[in-house]
Amino acid sequence: MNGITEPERPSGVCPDEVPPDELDTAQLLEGIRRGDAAAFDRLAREHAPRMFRLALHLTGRHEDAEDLVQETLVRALPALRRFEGRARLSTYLVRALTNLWKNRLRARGRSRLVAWSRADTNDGFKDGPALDPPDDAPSPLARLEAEDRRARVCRAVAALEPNRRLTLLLREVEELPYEEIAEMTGVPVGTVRSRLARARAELRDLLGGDA
Amino acid sequence: MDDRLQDYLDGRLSKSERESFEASLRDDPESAAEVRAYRGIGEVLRSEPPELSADFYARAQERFEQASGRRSWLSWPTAGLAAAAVLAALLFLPRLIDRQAPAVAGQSQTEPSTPPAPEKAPAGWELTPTEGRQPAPANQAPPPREESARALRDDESEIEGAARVESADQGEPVAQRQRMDQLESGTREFHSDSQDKESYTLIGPDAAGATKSEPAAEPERQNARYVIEGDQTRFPAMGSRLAAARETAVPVAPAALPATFPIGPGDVITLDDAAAWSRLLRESSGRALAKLTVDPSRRLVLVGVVGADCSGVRVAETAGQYEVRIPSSALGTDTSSPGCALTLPRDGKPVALVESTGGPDGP
Repeated sequence: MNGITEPERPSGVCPDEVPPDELDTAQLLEGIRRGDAAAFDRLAREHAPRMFRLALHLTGRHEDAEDLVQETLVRALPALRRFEGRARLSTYLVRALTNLWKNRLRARGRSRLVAWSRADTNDGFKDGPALDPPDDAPSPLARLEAEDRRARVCRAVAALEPNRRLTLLLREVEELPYEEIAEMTGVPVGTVRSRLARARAELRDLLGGDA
Repeated sequence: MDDRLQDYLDGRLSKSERESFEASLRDDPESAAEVRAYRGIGEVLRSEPPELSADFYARAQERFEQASGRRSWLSWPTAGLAAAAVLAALLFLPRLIDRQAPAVAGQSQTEPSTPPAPEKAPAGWELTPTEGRQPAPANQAPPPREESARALRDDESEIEGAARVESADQGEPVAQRQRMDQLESGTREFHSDSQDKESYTLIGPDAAGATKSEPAAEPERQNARYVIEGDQTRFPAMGSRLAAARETAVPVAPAALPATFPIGPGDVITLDDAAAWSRLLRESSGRALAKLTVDPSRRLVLVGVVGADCSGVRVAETAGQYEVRIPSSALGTDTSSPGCALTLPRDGKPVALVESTGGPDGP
């Protein structure tokens, strides 16, 4: 009318609006605080697999890892009062999981002497003597070697002193920067660096260069 | 570990520094191999984990609903009720109790908690929290939900304590950072972060009934692990000193594993090394075995480092369990061996590992 036009903006989006996917997460969190089981299920399915990967390395045991993840989700999601974005939610859950793990470690003092891991449910083994895989088996040795390699690494990680184990996993699995690891674990960046160095050196010793 | 190498692995070098380092790796195959090894470890750790159980989400829902039910039942639904409760509390109750339920199943209500008191050391041990943190008491009642949320957000739980250690040689206290865990089996395990090579003495439980485990045949490591077995539920008065004098690099074997343990569907058992297998076998009854009747439905894999020769290992099925018989000759210290891959039926029956002194086919 008077020559004034609205500034250009992407259609359908206001600059100060929360992105739709994050708005969805914020609403889900609100629902969880109200006891909405469906909301909880949605967020659990989004975050549990990643949390489980970390928990499995921390605990060394499938059942313990699942229990840790469930407990973290049940406790941490309703307790989150301020949603600051999905990335921060993911970090928040990692922090909650590691804290819960440390609390349990302290309370129970459980030491894992034997590393357990789930075998592939379809291992392809067929008839044959106990120690001689049959010729027609689909690469059982390769499967065994891969599983063995994973098991050896997991076993070695489980043998690390807990703080070093946690620091290593936050770096290698969660790929967090030193500064964030320092903040999460409550130590200076220098301590993060030295813990990482020692953890890696110890792993090299344990694995004998065959990682 | 070289700082530059670590910075390179963790992406902390600038572009030019990274290019320079990568150029140097071309002339340094040893460092290049180290980089590959460390990256390999990271790849394994980041690889897809086993799947969650089929009922994982159902169980998670159940826990959530239980926790939510408690929270809603114990919450104050209206301001009027809240006001009435406050009035009642002021008139009739000695103190106001926070009625918000904690988010954890099975735990009782608590008052708004004050910061947890420092953990008390067992009698005879001195605990010094590290880095200004006070470890939470192991048996502290769980705080209300808000406190629990804060505890989850802020790392207030410290798993490290410190024990006061006296040097056996100098007689002067040497404060070292150690982690103290009470193992489920009743042992206490101490790890020392110290890089000192001096021997030292642990002041703590009464020596009577406490024994120091023999060190395992492992290569020297930076950290020492000492397992002291004995009556850990009561710590007698300080007085006796356990001579744990040993080079800090020499580890001690952990507590023995049970001779039998149930195998669940999908489980893969991996023992640490030949020494662990050996310890496990020595705990067993040593019964003679019959030959295995091959079960075509076997689906469990048992992998262990037994030594170079796995040809003598046999598996037998007895009433109620499987026995894996391993000749003594196979229990070597050859930790470079990839070990044996045995397969056993995945039917939940326990597995006993037995060391045999005869040949592969003898009793």
